[in-house]
Amino acid sequence: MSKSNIWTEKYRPSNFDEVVGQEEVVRRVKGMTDSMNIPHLLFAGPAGIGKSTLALIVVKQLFGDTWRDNYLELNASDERGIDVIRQKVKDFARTKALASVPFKVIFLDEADALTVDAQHALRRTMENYSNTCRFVLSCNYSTKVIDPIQSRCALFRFTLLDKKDVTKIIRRIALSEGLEIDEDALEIIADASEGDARRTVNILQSTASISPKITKELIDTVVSSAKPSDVKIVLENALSGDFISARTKLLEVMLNGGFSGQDIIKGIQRELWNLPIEPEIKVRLTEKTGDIEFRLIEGSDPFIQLESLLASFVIAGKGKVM
Amino acid sequence: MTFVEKYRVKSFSDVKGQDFAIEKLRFFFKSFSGDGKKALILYGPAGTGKTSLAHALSKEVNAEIMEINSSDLRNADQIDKVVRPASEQRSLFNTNKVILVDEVDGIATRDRGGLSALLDIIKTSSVPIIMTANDIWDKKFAQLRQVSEVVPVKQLNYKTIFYLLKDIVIKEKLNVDDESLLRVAIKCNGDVRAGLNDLDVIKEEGEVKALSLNLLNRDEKKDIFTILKEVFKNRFSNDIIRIFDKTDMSLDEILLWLEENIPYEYKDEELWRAFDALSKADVFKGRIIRRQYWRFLVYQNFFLSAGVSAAKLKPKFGFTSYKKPSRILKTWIINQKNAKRKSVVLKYCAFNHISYRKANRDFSMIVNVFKLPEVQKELKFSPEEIKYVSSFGSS
Repeated sequence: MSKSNIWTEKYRPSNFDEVVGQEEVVRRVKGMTDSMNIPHLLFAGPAGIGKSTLALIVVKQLFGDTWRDNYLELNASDERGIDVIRQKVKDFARTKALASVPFKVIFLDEADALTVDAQHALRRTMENYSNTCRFVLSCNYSTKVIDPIQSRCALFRFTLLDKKDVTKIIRRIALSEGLEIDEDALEIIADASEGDARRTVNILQSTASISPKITKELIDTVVSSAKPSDVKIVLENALSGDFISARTKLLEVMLNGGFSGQDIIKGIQRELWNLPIEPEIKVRLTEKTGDIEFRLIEGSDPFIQLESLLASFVIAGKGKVM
Repeated sequence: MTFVEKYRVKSFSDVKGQDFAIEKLRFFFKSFSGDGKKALILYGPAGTGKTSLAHALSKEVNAEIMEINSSDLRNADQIDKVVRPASEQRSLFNTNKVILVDEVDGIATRDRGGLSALLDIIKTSSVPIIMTANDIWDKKFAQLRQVSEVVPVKQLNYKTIFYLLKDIVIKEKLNVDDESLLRVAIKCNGDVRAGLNDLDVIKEEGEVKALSLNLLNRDEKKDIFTILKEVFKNRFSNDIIRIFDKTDMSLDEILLWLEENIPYEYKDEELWRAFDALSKADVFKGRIIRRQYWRFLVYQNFFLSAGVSAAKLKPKFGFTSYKKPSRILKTWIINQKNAKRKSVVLKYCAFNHISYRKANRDFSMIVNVFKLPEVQKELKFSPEEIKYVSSFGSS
């Protein structure tokens, strides 16, 4: 257990036995780690279920106290492009490992955020440094990782935690922190967590920061404040024909929520299905949304693309589709 | 002191939008040895900060800058003085000095001999050499490119420059309105130095606003209104694709004017068709940026002019009062309000093995945690950051 006051860190498992769920994955990764040699690894699965944690456990087991010197953590979505990543890898891989293990470990989070071209560049980097480095890549969808990389890695699929596992995490923390939590509240957190351990722990600490007595009502206030439901208002404005209000609201939502154009498109695509419009129009609008998502990736200014999508909603509001 | 001097970059942390070049420079210096490349060329348009980057590097690694210019290159004594002392200690590579050759392309066009002298220096030098150039792709630089690490320095977009200038306006407590500033930022076309000089000029005058418009070509504003009117109102004509030739305004700024004003002119189907044209223009813009394939500019121009003009079902009459583009300004204002949030989240993710993007998305859920004193202490929040997180929601 780490000394941090932030529970996601404090209760992050530090060895294989503490990991909740993912039994099969943990068993196989532990086996490899015990042999003091690992291949490149590819961890696939949704957010908050232990991919980074397992990578950390692996390096702690391999290197003991010197793990920090032999471990580089990178994030594909935060680094500015593949060139910066390659440079950092180069920098890190130049020196030999300081431990009995003959390689260092590089963890690249959200590898599927890289474009296909960037992934090919990454593949070459992996080859160049395969003598001195092992890569652990994590991604949400393994299909978004190019085949040549997949074939160089041992692939592990992580699954969402089931309710039993989430409950186990909640009980463990409640016990250690002296929280009072009834069955109803436990149930609600387990539901709101959507199988995501980080989310579970965040909800729990957010609620506990208000009161150690955790109730259903308290959880509701924490969870409801975190929904990007404003996308719906934007779409409703557009459907009612008020394009200018829709785009003004959209800009506010994006900037205040820190959402990227792609986040918003995802939100629209989901929200679209619940809108009070004809099924046929829904289908056409979804197609349009996909088309705009594609243009957004090709283009330079996400907001222009989103405005053009809002214009489609304006027309749909009149019962027409372009 | 002019702003150009006063706000000259002092360290890498002052440099905006050049992460790649910085990363390259650091690596070049750190890994400098007899085996690798001994020189690095920073190339890019004027006013993007190439020389400043070199100076920032020397600050960071605590090395002295030795500048060589074209006359030095011909002067064997001078070269000996610079290069020899370092070469004498053969085994120890000398990294407390950096040689800077500014505007190497200029030197080489004036002076052929200079170029070969420079190549000799690079061959024998045991001191890292950094060169700057606007254009390095001429055939005569082939050899120079071969022996050097070639690093592009990006042209900054007007948003980055706007924010940079705005910081100065705030620091200097200048009375310059955001609209004028935005025009300066767009007008300087990626050249930060030009932008700073323009700012210098407009701050000197009392009548800031009137002058800023003066400075930026009084006719231009009339131009854009006439152009908007022609695109939005008139019957479609084949000449429309040449309409933007009538103004000096960049295509990027024209796009912002069109974006702002389409909904005031077009409704429903017309609105959709016009935004579809804008969307397609933006796709080509993205492709130009990514592939540097400038011929796509034809299509970008086409969709913005003919595309938007052809979106109307019939010609329009009457007067429309066109509005100034407001999105960039709004973005700046809201981001300014949220600046603390970014620093808070960055501190959090440095501890927590989580990407900034993810942490930022979870912000509203974890903000309660940030209110805890022990967490604030652990993450070393500043008093302002503490104030910022306490301003959130219920507790």
